[in-house]
Amino acid sequence: MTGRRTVGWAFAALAGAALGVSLVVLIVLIVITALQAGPITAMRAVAEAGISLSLRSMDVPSTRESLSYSTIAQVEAGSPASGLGMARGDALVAVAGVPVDRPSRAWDAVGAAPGGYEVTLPVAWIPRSEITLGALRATSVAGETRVVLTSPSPAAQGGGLRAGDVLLSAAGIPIVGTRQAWEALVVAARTQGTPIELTLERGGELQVIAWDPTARAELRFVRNPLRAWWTFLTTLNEPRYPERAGLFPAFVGSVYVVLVMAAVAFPLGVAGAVYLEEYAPNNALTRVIEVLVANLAGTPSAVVGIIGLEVFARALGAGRSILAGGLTLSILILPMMIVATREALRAVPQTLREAALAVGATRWETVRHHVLPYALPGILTGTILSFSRALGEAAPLLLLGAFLFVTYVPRGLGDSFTVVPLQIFEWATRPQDGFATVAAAAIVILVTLLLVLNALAIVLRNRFQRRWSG
Amino acid sequence: MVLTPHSLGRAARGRSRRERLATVGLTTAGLLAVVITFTIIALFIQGSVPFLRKVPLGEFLGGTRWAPIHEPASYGILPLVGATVVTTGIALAVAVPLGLLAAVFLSAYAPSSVRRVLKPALELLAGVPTVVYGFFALRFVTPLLQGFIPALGFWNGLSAGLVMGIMIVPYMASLSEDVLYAVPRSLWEGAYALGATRFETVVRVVIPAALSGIGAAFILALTRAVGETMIVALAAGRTPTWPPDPTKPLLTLTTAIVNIATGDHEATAFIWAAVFAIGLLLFLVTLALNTVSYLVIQRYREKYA
Amino acid sequence: MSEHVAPPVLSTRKFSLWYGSHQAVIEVDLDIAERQITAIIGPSGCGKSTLIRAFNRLNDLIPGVRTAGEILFRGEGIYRRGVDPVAVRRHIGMVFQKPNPFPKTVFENVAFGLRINGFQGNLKDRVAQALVQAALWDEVKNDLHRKTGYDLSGGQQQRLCIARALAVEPEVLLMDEPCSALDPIATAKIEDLIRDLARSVTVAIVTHNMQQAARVSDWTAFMLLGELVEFGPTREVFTRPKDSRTEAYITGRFG
Repeated sequence: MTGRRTVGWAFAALAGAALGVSLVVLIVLIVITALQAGPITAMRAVAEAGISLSLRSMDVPSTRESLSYSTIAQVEAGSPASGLGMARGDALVAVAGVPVDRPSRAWDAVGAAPGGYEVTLPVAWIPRSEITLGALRATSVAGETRVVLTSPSPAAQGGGLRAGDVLLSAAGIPIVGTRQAWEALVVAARTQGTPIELTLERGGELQVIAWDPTARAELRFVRNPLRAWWTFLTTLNEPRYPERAGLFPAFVGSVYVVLVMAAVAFPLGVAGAVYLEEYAPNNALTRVIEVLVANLAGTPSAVVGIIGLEVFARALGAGRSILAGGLTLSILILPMMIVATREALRAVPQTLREAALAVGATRWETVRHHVLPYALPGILTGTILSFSRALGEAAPLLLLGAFLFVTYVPRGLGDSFTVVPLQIFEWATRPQDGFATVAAAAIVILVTLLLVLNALAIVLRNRFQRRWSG
Repeated sequence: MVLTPHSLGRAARGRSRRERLATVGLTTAGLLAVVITFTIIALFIQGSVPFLRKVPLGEFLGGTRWAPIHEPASYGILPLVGATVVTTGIALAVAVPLGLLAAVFLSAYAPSSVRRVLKPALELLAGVPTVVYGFFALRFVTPLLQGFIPALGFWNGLSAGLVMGIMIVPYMASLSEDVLYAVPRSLWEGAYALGATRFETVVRVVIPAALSGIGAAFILALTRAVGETMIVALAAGRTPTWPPDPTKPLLTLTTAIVNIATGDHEATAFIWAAVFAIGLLLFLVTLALNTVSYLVIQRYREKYA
Repeated sequence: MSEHVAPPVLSTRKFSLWYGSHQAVIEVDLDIAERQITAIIGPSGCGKSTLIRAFNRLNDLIPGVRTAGEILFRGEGIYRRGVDPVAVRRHIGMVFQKPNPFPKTVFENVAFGLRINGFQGNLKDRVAQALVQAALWDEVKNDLHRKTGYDLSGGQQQRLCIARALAVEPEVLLMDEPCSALDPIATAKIEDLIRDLARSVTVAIVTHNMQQAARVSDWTAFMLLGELVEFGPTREVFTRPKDSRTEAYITGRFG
């Protein structure tokens, strides 16, 4: 007897653990993903200071080592950074004393610096080659490349460099090219700090000079999470720089596609369900329809995507447009709509139908005046659930060829578009720093939206169950 | 004659016209599912014909090299089928036991207050988009697993399959819970009355009674895994390998479709025929699976209605 | 049937009805007299509800139903080809076992039938009249637009359903165990109401309650296993049943 009890308890514990573990893993998944989105505040702060960064790397001559650094790929006109004289092509070497080897390091430094929403942090950068060094020329002597400073810039002259100097190495990194000379300085400054020991040949003699080519200034960063998220949601997408990524085009695309889908799938789904539940004769055809609806509901979304591409985009000539996208999702959602609506209709008491028919209502009058109003909360619940499923669908639209790089806001049904889950997919596949963060941020927005919608549906269902069950 | 529509006067004639209109409209909407299904079948067959004319069926279904854009092209689908089998197998190995046990807990052990909270929670989690799971697999599960399996590739079938399994748990749990919950209380009471413990009741009476429904839930989970696209597209990579190895990048049937469709191919290129051939295969497999599970569930419903 | 003074409003001629392969009504011949109350009694499963639902073709809703024979309404076969079931129901109203008001206001419950049938007169007056006829007016006159059908008590709900049926002025009112879900006081009220109604409308009532049949009806039909066993004036059926099965049933030795 105790043995039987023990087995029973063990089984109960196992089953409870299975449920618990599943729920915990799923929730942890969402929480970890949400945490990944954290750096977006600092990223937006850097972007709003005016700087867009890009990862570069330099192969160290004669070793297999490759050292990375970050160039300033873009400086927004009129921004604080441009006021400091930063310009495209400069290299950012340190923020708040933290060496910047890759863009994420700069964002992390801004994010981690103590202070409130607004912080002013020291930044160090090495201006682009023509400002830092001046004009260079490469000559080949006995098979070896020699980099000669033909006309030093004022900064180089201030550092003690002269015209005709042959640059040999910076902090031990050999200088082997005109472009690479500047890169060597940047990498040296980042790895070994300043001043840099620059070895050069002047008038046939080797000389070592200590030189600090970095420019330094204080830059103000605004780390406002609300503002960062809001900007992320409402700006156009700049596909090259994650700190300037914006979800707005995808968001608008999603809204448009779902509206088209709603206009098509809602009436057709409800009508189809009303037919099956209220009108269809009890015959083989009806059963075939039921099986086919169940099948369509289980058809892989990739297969539905092929249909969308072939029928709507190509045969009907809608192209890779919002219209084609909405129609494709309609096929995906239609069976779900039918199944959900049928369930809601089945919950309508038969006596209600009989009551209406008994006073001489036609079938349609019964459905329109009594059955549909009664089933409406249930139908809406199913509709919200179906639509939120569609809102998260990426595969069929990926096949349809919704553009991955949409940087503008679609304006009409004929425009090409992207949607939030596709934008997430695109960002998630990008290897550069920061795209994982914006993908996670987009996930946070999408999942929040879906959870709100689904919770709404569940509340609606519960209220409606309580209302009519009494 | 007062009972025929003609004798009912003007207003009534308007009514019967509306009625006819409604009937025609609703019937059309009802038949839409048939139209769509036959369009799909026709389209896929038509699209696959040029493919099967050029590629012998035996080579297509039996070939172990998938290289549609190489010269010479090779269209053996086994690497794709193998990849789908591997990821699906891993997913089901996770989802079926966890989902089933969770369902048993909810229907047999959980107090109704707990059930009322957890069932909607499961449904909420089932609504998380698959692209989110794909991101999770790529960014967290793969690095995590690489700690244990150093040879694990950046893209691999293992983490895609595991995460797909996690994704399917709420779905499997929700479906099985419905099935278990539908087992009449009288069966439970009958077993209790014989002195069976709750465990014995669940294992010896309830689960056997619900077996066909659980089987149907299993098939639906299987269809879901076979058709899953975004998780494998993100986390499993796009490289056809034979024999399939879960630690290496894999190309499943669905990602092969995505691969071709997102590639820059002319709409008239022969490679599109391969998309239709794969699509047809996927559609037929899921059609068969769905039909079986639908019929099983119908029978189950009738049994306990 | 010599006691019939007027020709019957409804009559069945060898009427049979099948649910799939199960025959629920077997060749029933029955006449329902104008402005009289006809009760149909019998043990559960005897086909009495099926028969009364056949009178306004509500069984059409159930899949797999087949009929044979005829039901004549004023001499016209309601199952004949070309007959619109909607028109049948317009003339033959029904009140159900469980009160089934619409989830709408009291007023809309009664007005619905009028609206869809294109009623041209004064809607308010007609609704009020129907509620008076159903002896509900005094209880709801102040809440016509405020209360829904669900806010009323069970007995009130059933009278609302009667008012709803009466509003479209049917010639026949079918009642399928209208009191089975009600308490004795509400039942008494409805029984009084039925007696009053019979002055203006023909009533056919199915009941499992023999006392009720004896109290309210002019005619009684006893059904058993789908067959009409006995039909006659209520007094005779209850005091001098011709068939031994009827006697067994009404004396309580049965079912």
